[in-house]
Amino acid sequence: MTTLLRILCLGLFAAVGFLACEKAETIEVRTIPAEPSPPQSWGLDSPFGPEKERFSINANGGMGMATVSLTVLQGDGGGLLGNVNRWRGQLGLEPLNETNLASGVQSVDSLGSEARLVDLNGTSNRTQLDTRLVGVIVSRNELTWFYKLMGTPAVVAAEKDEFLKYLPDWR
Amino acid sequence: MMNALKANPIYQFFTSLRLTVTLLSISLVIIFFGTLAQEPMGLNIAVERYFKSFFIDSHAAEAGWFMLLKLFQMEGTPLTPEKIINPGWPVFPGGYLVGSLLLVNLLTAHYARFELSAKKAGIFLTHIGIITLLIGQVFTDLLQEESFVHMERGDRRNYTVSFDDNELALMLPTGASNRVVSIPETMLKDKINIQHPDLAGLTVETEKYWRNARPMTVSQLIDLDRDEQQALRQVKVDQVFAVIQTRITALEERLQQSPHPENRKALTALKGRAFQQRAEAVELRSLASLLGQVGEMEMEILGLGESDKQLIFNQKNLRDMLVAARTFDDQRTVGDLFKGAMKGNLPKGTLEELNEQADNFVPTLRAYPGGTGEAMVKAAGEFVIRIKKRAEKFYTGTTQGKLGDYFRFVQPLAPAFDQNDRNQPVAVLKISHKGEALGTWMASCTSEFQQSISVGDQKWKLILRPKRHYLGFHLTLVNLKWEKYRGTEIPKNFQSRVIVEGDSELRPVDISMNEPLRESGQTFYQYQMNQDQLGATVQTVLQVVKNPNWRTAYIGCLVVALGLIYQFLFHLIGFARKRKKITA
Repeated sequence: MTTLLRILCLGLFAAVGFLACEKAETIEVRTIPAEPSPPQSWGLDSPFGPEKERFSINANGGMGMATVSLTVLQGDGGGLLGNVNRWRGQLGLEPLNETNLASGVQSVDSLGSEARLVDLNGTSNRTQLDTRLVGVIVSRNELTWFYKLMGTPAVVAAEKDEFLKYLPDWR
Repeated sequence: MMNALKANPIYQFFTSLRLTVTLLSISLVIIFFGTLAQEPMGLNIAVERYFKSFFIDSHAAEAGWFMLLKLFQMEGTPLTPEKIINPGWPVFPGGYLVGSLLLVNLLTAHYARFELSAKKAGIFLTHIGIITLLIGQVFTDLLQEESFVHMERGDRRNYTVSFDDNELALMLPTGASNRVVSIPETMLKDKINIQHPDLAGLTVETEKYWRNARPMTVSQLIDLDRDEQQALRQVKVDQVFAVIQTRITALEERLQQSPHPENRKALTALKGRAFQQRAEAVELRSLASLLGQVGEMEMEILGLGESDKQLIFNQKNLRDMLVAARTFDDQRTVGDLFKGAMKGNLPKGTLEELNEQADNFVPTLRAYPGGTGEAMVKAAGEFVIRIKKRAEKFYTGTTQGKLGDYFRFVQPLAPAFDQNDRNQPVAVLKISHKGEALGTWMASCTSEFQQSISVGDQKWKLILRPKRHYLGFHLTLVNLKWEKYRGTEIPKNFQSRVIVEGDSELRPVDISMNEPLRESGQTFYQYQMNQDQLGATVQTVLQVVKNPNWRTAYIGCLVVALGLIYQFLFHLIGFARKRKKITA
């Protein structure tokens, strides 16, 4: 019985000791969903104000430049009409009202039924240059995402497709 | 047989109640000193070295002892960072040893005194509960993972980040997914030659490793020198101010003995100027002017002559302090001039280029239109020697990668031990593919930039970052709330509203201080809230605990409670029956 007890004690002691020894760190291999990356022509820029992310595009050959930004606000973020008119105001365009809002916005299939797109041309209040703005507003999960591509019309025209292609991954 | 066993000294030792009391007393000592040691050593290191080890080492014990002395306002020697990192000799039983012995003691004592009867069933249950708790703690230590996730409004995460551990991640995009080979930082620290079947022939060798460091550009290297010269200058300026303060105090004492309203007014104004200058980044010219005014007051109040040795500006040591401060000032200026001369070659300078620029600096300075004073040329010579020496010491010598291209130098920093600080490791890695050298890369936890390694058609990404634990679902932060008790800064409630996005479900959840989110075997506790400069709450931090063994503690406590209740009721009922009999 003494032997049995000794073996039992030693066994337990050794088991706890073994378990308590530090776990050796080893190499781990994981497979994760690919992280979306922005188009190559976009350069990372510093976000301005409430923006979450900002990119700048400098087109070759002095074509001009454009910026791409993402802002996320809680709730409806001021509403579709208010934000469309804010963007129109930045380009010196007349505001829309509830009745003609629908004619000024388009849907974006890749972003779901809630997404609305505006494509505006005007003169920037800030630079006084011809400017084009492609903006997308998406309300989703109690938040509203504002995606904006704005700059020289030629650059915006060249980047619009890439911009719309990247949006579903950009969250 | 049983008698022989009872006579065995080992049996007696393990079954004795004295051992139980001794072990419990030792536990108290460990908990007391382990708690004290958390201040100098940091929470994690103290827990590891006191509670999660078989023996407490001499350095950890020293930390506890130092804090005890401090508690009683006695002087002790604080621990050096080396001692905090490196364990010393074992000097006292640690948490695991005491826990293991308690377990053995409990089991053997139970064996020796065990008697299966209704009378002792409560004690039996209580012991089972304690054993469950002791063993459960070991499993918790082994299996529990703690991490955190920080998010701003709108952020969507499918991973959490380790509090302390870092990983060198080598990623290979494979269509819609990425294969990530995560190499623990400890392997870089130990300079292990890293090979793995999933690395497809890549070998990673650590050439240099710093536990906590700051990558620097050439420009930052020069700024570092400038900051050091500024700090040395400040020491001298502080010394001059200390002398001025002493002299003003002496003058005030004299005026108390022999009052003079006008002199008192002038001295008060002078004292005000001295305070104002001390609070500002003082120019040496203003400091000299202040000294002159103090000297004039000394002549006026103490009646000293201009050549009197006691007069403040006739003191040699004070003049020496000013000259030294001036020298450090010159060194700062020279640093700025060097940066100006290097313009166009910054920040991509290699060590050879920097040395060449440094060697050309003094001749360039001499050739400045209008000439340069000899003092400045001498200062430039000293600067060149110093900057070359420092550049050589901090140079990484990487040949590949954008990070190493931009940051050519690394400044080692003292390791961080505080719970709120995090070490930022940097490593210089030699990477080869099937024996063919590809070059050396710098990897640093200070940058989220993913560098590329091209091997044939494959384009690997490389990054050193805090270790990630992937969740298997997404969390999106929708809103956060930081409520305070009215009129105070005391937090009343921290609350984060998140959207949990699984494969088939999407649900909003409010996480607050006492209401964690439990999802997929992990618990998300509200941990911190951060504000921006305008005081708006912008960021939430959730602590994530994954403990597959979490039920053990509850089961253990429940069994102990049941045992105690049973035992209490058994005796109570027995006592009541006995009393009833006596009364009858």
